[in-house]
Amino acid sequence: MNTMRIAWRNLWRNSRRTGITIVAMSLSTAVLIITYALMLGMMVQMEHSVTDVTVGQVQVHHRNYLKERSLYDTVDGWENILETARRDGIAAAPRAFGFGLLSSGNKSAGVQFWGVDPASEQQIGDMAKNLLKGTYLSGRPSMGVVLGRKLARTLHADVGTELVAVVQASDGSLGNELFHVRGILKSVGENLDRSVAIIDREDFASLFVLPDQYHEIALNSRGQLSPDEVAAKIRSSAGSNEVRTWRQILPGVSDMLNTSSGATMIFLVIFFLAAGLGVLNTLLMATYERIPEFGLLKAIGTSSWRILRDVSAEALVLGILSSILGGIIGTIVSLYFQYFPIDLSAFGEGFNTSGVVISAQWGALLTLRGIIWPIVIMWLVSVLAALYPAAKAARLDPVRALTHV
Amino acid sequence: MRQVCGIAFFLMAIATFVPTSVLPGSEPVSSADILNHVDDLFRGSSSHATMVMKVITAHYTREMKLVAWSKGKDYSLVRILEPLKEKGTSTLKAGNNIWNYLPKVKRVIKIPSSMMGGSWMGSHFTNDDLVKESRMADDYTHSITFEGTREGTEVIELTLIPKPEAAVVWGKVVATVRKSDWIPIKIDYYGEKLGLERSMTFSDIKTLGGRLAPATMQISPADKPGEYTLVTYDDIEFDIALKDSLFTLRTLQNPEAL
Amino acid sequence: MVIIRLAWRSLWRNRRRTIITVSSIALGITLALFLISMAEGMYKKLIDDAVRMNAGYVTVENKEYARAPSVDLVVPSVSAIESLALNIPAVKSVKVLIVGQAMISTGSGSIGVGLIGVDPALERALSPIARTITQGRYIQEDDERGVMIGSGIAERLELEPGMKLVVTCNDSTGELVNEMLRVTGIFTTGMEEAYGYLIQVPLGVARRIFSIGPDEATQVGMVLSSPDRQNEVIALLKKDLAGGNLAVLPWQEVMPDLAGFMAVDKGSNYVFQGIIIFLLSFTILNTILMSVLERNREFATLLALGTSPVLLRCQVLIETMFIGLLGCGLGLGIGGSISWYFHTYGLDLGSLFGENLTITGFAVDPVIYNYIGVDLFAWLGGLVFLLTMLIGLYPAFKSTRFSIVDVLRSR
Repeated sequence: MNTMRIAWRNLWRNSRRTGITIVAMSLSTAVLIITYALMLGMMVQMEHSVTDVTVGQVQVHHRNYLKERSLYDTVDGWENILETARRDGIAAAPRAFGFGLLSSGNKSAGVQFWGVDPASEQQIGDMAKNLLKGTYLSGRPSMGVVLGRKLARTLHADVGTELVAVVQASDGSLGNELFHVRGILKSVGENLDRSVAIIDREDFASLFVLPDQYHEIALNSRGQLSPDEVAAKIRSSAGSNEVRTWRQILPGVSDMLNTSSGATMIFLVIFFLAAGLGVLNTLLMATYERIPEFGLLKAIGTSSWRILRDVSAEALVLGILSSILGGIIGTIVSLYFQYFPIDLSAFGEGFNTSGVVISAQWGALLTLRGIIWPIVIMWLVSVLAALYPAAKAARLDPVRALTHV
Repeated sequence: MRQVCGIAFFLMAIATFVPTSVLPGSEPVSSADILNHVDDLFRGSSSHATMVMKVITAHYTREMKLVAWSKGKDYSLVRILEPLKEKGTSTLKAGNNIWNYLPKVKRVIKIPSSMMGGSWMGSHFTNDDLVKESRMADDYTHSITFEGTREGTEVIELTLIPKPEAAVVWGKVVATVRKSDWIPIKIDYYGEKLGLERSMTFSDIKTLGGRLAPATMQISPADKPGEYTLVTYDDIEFDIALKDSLFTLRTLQNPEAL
Repeated sequence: MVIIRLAWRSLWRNRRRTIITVSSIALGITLALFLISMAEGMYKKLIDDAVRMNAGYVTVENKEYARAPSVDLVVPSVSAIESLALNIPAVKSVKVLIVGQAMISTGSGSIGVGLIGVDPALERALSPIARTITQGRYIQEDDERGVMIGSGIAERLELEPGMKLVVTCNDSTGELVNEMLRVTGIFTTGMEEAYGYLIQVPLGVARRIFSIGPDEATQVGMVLSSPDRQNEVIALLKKDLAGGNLAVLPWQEVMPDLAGFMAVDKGSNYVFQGIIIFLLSFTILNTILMSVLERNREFATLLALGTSPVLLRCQVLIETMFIGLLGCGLGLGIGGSISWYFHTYGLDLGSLFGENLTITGFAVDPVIYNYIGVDLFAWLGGLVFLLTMLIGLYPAFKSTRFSIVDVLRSR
């Protein structure tokens, strides 16, 4: 269109000014894209650090289980649930829980035994990689146990230490077996560190006289689906059992993550403000410089409306150019940080709480929305910034405009 | 959930009847005398008993044949004879501490304080019950609250309120004994808010090891109707010579030594 | 000097541009200042709350204690350590703690708990437990059988203030002991690991239960009035306590979870601040450059008239300096006032984040008091000013790099 061609030429008449403006706007856009990507990356990573260690996205329990943790409240029809999960490509780990005693010499401690299927556990989360010492359980039941870090300390146990497990079995008898420590977990949170002892599910079955029964099924789609989607899919085959997302199971951690997200949002808004103001500032100056120009145009008969339209067109072109440029730069840098995360370990090792392990690596996450929003905001700002002075000029008396400083 | 006053199970195993200077019917009856009698019914210098324990819970039924030795109130040793799967599992109590011997893994473990609330061998007794040394007369203030006939038998009912500093969880204990020989019929345990928590009933009174005592005792939790633990004596010997070395960890680990 | 006055006046000749530039700088500083002071305020509060509730900024305990906590690993001569610590000016108060595991029972059942013995008079001012009492009252030193229990425990065991419970545990000699206690009060701090698991008793009661001597404890913690002097305090204590089997630890070692969280959070904050400053610098560069380039004609004229280029560049630099000073001054002023306001009245983030804010299990008060300190102002202001000057070098340089004739001839 004519307007556009005029706008284009107008811009390049003062190439220096235009150049600076475009650079300013693109950089701001790029920075916004990168910041958004970093923040999104952080929030997503925090969620994964909950779901991908051991909690999973969704858990299924017998409807009474979480109240009293009775050995007898097992998940009905767990085979169905596992089958449904498998069909939909969701990793599922069945777990059996029971309380008892682990003893070594004159040291003993009350523990919570986890009877797990090691292969499933490794599909569902990274706990197996979170070892301080030793190895995780192998695929074959061999009376091996993996201990929480504080538990190992209390028992003065190391890899290879022999421990006596004594529990009240499901038939009332005193279940007892000898186990050997295969591995010790890194710190994953107070409760788990202090009381968790992981054994193979078949060893659990013989210890507790509870064959083929599980108290919990943890599910994780590993990023393919959201927790709510997973829950919806599983609910259909869950029968009378209760299906919960991790947010319902760990409200404290959920709150903490919301806090972080909230803080991140605030930061983001502030950034948008800062970037927007930067662009505003640039464009204001650019346009103000041109008021004498507008005055001249008015003096030769151009209508105010026409001036406004031209300025808007220029702003639009600027906007398009800078979004392309800024978009490209922003995308490249964000992708870089996505695949080569920022290493914050100089500041600290990362931390753990309630089964959540948050690492010191900070990766960005680029999404379409993360590119479009910053661009849209830039456009809005640039149009506003260009319009204001132009409107002012358009209303001015041409003589005044001509001599405007 | 299954705490029962310590007098219960182990008193049965440690039984002896110490003749007191106060025989029923001969002088005015005081609640202290009755309580002492009940306590002493199951206590003495030493004992050796065999018994059967049957446990019914919502999830399982168990029957075990046990043998037990005791010396004074500080030492006792209990061993499971049947079922075969658990034969040789033993518990040693010395003072306030308890150890279990597990024949399958051939190990001794000491029960830590965190497990004291756990059930003993799946019954309605807890490990804690086994060490509780409360003598009814010492830890409670007591009085006779009823004398008369109930269900065709002449009984005396005593109500015990724990003394302010006593380390007992109950709010009130009500014991009913036979008026004629002060043999206990029933003991009810109430929580602090005075709701009934559990009951112990005695029956099958016969002569055992030369004394008249109830051969059967049943504990039922009030909140789980249908559940109970039943202990029945087969045979008891009192005041026998028992070596101190019987009540050591070494003997605990060596089932054959007995 | 004349050049200074020239610079000043030329700034104000294009008032709008100057104002825009100055306000950009000011805004950037205000934002950065506010964010940093808010974050700092939050960290300080978090740490302060956490250390007060636990074992202080600096903890004295048995060397082996950290590895395997147990009630037989005690700190002897607690009162001596106390007076030693109180002599150090940075130490505000000293907490004495006895920590152990126990089982508590009632007629309804039994559960395992963590038992903490404290000095009630001191703890009342420090501990969130004292601040979140829902029933009953806080313990006092003369409560021979008093105990504070978490609401989770009260619920499970059906307990109310005045009701009794029996504590069973292994004391420092390994013996199994029983004690009867009566519930003094029930608390609910908001962290499940506290209200579902902890009970608190006066020191005397803990000593009696665990058979610990009257001058012994498991941990002695110092609460500091000036937390920045932490290392100094540690050094002093280490010197005086050398040779024993005691360890003097900073809270970062006693509560590594919290330290880890803050470190990672700080790291990400630095990245954000870096981005803000980058945006800021760019804006500054942009505006100053533009202002210089727009005055090509003006400068060309001046140069044609014989002004020395060096002088001209200096003038530009001085203009930049003024802009920097004004911007920083304004920014620090506004940002400082906002931060000061929130420092005094607190910033309530409760509405944003919900009431139950917890970080690594520590309940966080959603009201944040911004941190204000000369060091923050000086550092931020100084940095931005320096940055401005550095940025200003390029435009200053460019200001005379053109052909006078070409500029004068064109429009």
